[in-house]
Amino acid sequence: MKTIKLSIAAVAALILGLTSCKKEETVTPTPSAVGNGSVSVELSHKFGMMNEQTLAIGSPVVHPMKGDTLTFSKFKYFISNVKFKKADGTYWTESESYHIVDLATPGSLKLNFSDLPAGTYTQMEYTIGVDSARNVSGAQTGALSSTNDMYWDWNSGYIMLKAEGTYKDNKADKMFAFHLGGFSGADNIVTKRTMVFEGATALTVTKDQTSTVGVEVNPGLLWHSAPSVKTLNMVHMPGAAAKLMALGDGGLGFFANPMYSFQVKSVK
Amino acid sequence: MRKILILFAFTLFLVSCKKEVVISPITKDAFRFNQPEQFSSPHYNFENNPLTEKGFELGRYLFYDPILSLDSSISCSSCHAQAHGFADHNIPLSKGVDKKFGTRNAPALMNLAWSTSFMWDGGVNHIEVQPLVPLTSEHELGETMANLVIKLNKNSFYKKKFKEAFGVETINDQKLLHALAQFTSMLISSNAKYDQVMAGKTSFTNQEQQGYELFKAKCANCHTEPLFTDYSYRNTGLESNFKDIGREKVTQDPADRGKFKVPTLRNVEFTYPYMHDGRLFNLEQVLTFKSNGIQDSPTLDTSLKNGLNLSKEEQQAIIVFLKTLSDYTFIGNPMYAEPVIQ
Repeated sequence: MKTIKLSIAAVAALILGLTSCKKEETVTPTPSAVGNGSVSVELSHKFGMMNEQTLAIGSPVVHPMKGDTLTFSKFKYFISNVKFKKADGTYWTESESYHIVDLATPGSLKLNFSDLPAGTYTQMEYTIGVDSARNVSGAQTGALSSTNDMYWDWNSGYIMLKAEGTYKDNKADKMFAFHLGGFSGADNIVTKRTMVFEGATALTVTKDQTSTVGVEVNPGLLWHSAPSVKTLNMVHMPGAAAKLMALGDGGLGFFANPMYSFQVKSVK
Repeated sequence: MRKILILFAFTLFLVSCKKEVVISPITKDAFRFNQPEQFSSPHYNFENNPLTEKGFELGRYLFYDPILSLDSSISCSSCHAQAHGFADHNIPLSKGVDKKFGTRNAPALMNLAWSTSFMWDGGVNHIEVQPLVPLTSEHELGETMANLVIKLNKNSFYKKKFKEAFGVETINDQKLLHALAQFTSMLISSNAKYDQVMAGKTSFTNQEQQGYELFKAKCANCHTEPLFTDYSYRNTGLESNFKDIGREKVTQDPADRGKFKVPTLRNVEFTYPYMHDGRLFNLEQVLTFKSNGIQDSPTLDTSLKNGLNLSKEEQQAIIVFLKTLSDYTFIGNPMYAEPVIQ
């Protein structure tokens, strides 16, 4: 009897302990205490081995590995499920966090997050693409609306990235169109990533101020493992080709490359 | 003091106003999904799209309105007619805007809330996003979703109807798709003679009973009761050199070559012609084909390897049984008919 009582007490203490631990972790500073600020993540799109070329709609760029001259008429992709992690381990999570980055729309190249509690943040967690849940949940709105032309109606699912344009083939202009998607099983290209803020790029959010994170994005990594556009100029469904471009061999493609596809260059 | 009282009264007023908005027409609806006793729970549960009478009525207006097509020439109902079990008007392939034909037979629409995928190849994974295909296909209604939203927002009738149904000032594609899903998911057929017999309210004739026994032995493996489909994809041996690769187009798996979704057989009497391309014009042709017209190929369904080998008399009995799946309360249900715009 005594042992039972003791163990009940021990379990109770343990639960209390767990509860309080958990509480401590999830406590976020109240706005009234420290105030809230904003973060603007500014994406500049580059091409080339050292990001030396600027990628813009209608301007030709040369792929450093494949030698292809590419002129983009469309370049769009999804960034979703953004969370900022504080130095104390707590998270600020954006609700309904779906963004279309569209090279043709300058406003979309700045991802603005407001009402973050002031403090030091160590990283931003985000996803390239749209999580599987929203691919199977019927009609959506906002960035996920069917009016945004980023959805396959005949084979339900979001087009996670759309790159269209022309390339030079023996002086002739030919078309390329890469629509990359796939959210389940072997075709899944949805990629969770982390952007680290440290040292010269430490991120501090200050009350009523906007901190700006400068990020260089290099879509040239789509061709890290994929062949020249002269060999493959069209992808229109989930599968091996989409995976090769998005994830690449060894995870070095555009969606997955841990070092070079999304690089934090400055924090102001 | 007086100022405080006025402020207090004003606050009360605000609170009561707010309350009234909350119990506005939408929640007053006592409109429900009519779950047939003999069916399992539906797959679609209206989780993000609560069913209301106003939402259903709006979906019905939209289903019958050619405003949804590029040139206002056709509506959903042009190829999904109630008298034909919401299949097309007994033609193999359907005509879209600019008189363009599709490549597959317009499926009958019924009991869609139980369906886990849509289209002959199952490429669509949710009832709410199914209309995106016919609305935007150049062979069908030929529109873009962006333009549809613009057109509807310019239309005072729909502005009013969407506000009544969803409480929105601006119509978006999600609400359009939600309204259509409310209508299509309510197209329930569960009151055929077959259902009456199963409920013990009437009985089959001898020939119907013979057909039912044959059906259970030869057909029910795929056309599973009580919805008369198992929602699988199968190659039924129509051809060995495929003009249409069917499900393989979606899965990119050669093992799915020439496979199409098993259609329900409810109201099959009204939905002719048959098969994914409408090549067989009557049930006699279908039964003759299944008996001894099967073409072999690597993906042919194993249950059809040697054909069903049914005698003419057995085929006739099955056909007579299939006609007990005709639901006149469904094809005559005024709730599903073209609405009159007042």
